[in-house]
Amino acid sequence: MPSLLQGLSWEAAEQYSVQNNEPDWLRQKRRAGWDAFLSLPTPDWTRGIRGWWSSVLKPLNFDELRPFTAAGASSLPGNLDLDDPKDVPAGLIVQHNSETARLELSEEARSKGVVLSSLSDAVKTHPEIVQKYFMTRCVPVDEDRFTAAHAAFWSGGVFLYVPANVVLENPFRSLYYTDQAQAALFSHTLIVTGANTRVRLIEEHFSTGQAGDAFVLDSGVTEIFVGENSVVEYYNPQEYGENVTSIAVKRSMVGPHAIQRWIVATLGGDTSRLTLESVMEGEGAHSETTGLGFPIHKQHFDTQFRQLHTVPHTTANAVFKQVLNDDSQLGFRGGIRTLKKAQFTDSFLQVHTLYLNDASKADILPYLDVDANDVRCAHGATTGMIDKDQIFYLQSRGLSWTESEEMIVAGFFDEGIQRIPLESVRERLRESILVKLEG
Amino acid sequence: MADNNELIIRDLHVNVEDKEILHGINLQVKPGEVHVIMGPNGSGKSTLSNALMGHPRYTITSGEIEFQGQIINDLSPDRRARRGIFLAFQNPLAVPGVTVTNFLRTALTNRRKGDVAPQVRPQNLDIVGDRPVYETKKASVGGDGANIDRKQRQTLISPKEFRSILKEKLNMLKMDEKFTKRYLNDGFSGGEKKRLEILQMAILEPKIAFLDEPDSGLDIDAIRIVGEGVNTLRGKDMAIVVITHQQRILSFLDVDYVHVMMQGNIVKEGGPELSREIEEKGYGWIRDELGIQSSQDEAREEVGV
Repeated sequence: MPSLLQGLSWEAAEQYSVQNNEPDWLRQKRRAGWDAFLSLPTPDWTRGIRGWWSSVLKPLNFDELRPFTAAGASSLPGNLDLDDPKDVPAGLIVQHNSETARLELSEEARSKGVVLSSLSDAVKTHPEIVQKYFMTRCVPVDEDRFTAAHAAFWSGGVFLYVPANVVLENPFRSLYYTDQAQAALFSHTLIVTGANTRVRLIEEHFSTGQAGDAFVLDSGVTEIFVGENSVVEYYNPQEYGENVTSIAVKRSMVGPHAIQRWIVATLGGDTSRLTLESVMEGEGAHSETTGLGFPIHKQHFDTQFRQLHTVPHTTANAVFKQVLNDDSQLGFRGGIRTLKKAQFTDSFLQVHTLYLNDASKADILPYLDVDANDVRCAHGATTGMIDKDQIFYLQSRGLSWTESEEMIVAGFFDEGIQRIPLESVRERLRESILVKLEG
Repeated sequence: MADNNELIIRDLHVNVEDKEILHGINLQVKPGEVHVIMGPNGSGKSTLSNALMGHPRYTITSGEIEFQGQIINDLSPDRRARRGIFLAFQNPLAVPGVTVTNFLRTALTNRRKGDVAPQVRPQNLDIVGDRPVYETKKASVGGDGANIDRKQRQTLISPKEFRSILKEKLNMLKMDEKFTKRYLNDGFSGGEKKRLEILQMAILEPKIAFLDEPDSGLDIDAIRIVGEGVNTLRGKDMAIVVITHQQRILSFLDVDYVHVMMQGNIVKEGGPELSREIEEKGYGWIRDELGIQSSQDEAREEVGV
């Protein structure tokens, strides 16, 4: 591939689009993204833009970022353990920097008509599905400056399509990995399921960088469409290095009698902002959200959660658990929004925050915004240090202070982690949490 | 040292938040003995057990606790536990997300290693005694028992060996294996919590066990299960101190000594007949005999509030 232009510019996007023979509609979408990127402000709490009050973005120099970075020759880090014979997923896709580096699909999934590919390929192989669902009503191009940039500069990506009546217990696995300094990544995952399906995807974000390394931006988008009476489970451990700014938008459109389950764990990144939403658009829809976060050092994490009930008879339960240490900061703004016609909604949100020291800082704002008059919506939040009596209890059985603290924090997270379907991923996350506890 | 498992408490004064609760307790427990500490609510029984275990809120202002020939006043709770002191809590705390199995495997590993003096690393000078200052950043890196850091913890006793021990003790206490897959005390009923305390005692095989109100809140069947469990575990080496203000569990135990506590002092001592006398007559006669004014708490209890 000939060398590409540096920096975020329309020429770079256009050149990429031409080189990849993208259809017109897609090039127009990139153009729309670019135009919106130019016209929208960079969201920042100091400008009072709604929904960004708790995000403190370090200055982003878009001119120095490089989109469309090649995979390069280096291999993946060993602790990812993609080839554990005990943990063979139904399909595996690896995006290294901006290119798809590996793609496997089990015979079972293939024979049932499941499609797992890069989104770039899906544009050609399944144009009607991609055109219908990609950055349309789920995450619109001009939602904010980052989704706009995303629309203009995305590459690679993950496309998972599950036709009607296909049930797969074995999870799929996708991995976004970067080792490129000053890369601008725009990871995009699109999951579309037909009626009566069941599918699970573990999506991991990983990088080699550390604090102090050259800056990397990942502005990712995940769009999920859960078909009628289907179940989608999406597990997302994010373990970027502490030189990455991650601005992710993940949204699911949940159909009639469908279930969306989220387990997201934000462990990495220098600044990691996650917008997480379930839109209940079919009667009888249900969603379950588990959000974990553990900032240390100078990490700054921010979660914007919204549970949106648009039709009657939908239910949801969301639990966020976060632990802070060192000089880290954490923002959480999340709530339940019920439209006027969404009667008989039953929705609950809990946010639990644990401080390991008194230098870290958290801003927690749960809210209810209810227009219907016959619903059950509630939220609860707890904030505090580890219960010293709990520590004493464990110490009285011979565990040291350190071991007790580790065990309590690991347990705090484990209710989420233990539900992740691949043993090797669970183990790696538990290990990551212990490493973070040690500083 | 190791074979001298005698506990000697000499003139122990204990403060809670600057208020003296215990005013000079003396107690001697030899291996294999069963002691009962009785007394009305608010007499200081739980303070004594918490101070013995080293709860940070309970400050020893004078006197000493000697165990295995050494003064242990300044040892952290985990070091006391690794030496063989056990406290069955009146209200065991729930630790969600931590399975009973994982927790007990770590606990048993440490108990077997025994007490090792902590290695305080140079950068951890903000550690007070052998307990890190909670608020400091380095505290979470460890310093207390830093010898048991993560690498060494890889040498936990093998799952296979642990499972067989666990199974044996569960059978002994007629407990279901499902217990051990649950989160520690999380959603446990009162009876289940008490039985789990006894299971922990069975697995850790302490030299001396304090049972703080092992019978409170239990019906008679549950008390029998706990009482029989304690009896099964009582060996010639293990001393037991039962703290209670009821008498029901005592019918399942062969008691050697009874101590009566009131207002932070041990006021009367005797054999098992003393507990029977208290069962019949309550505490009033002891007060009259010794000329003790009943405190507010005790008075409230006597009028049955």
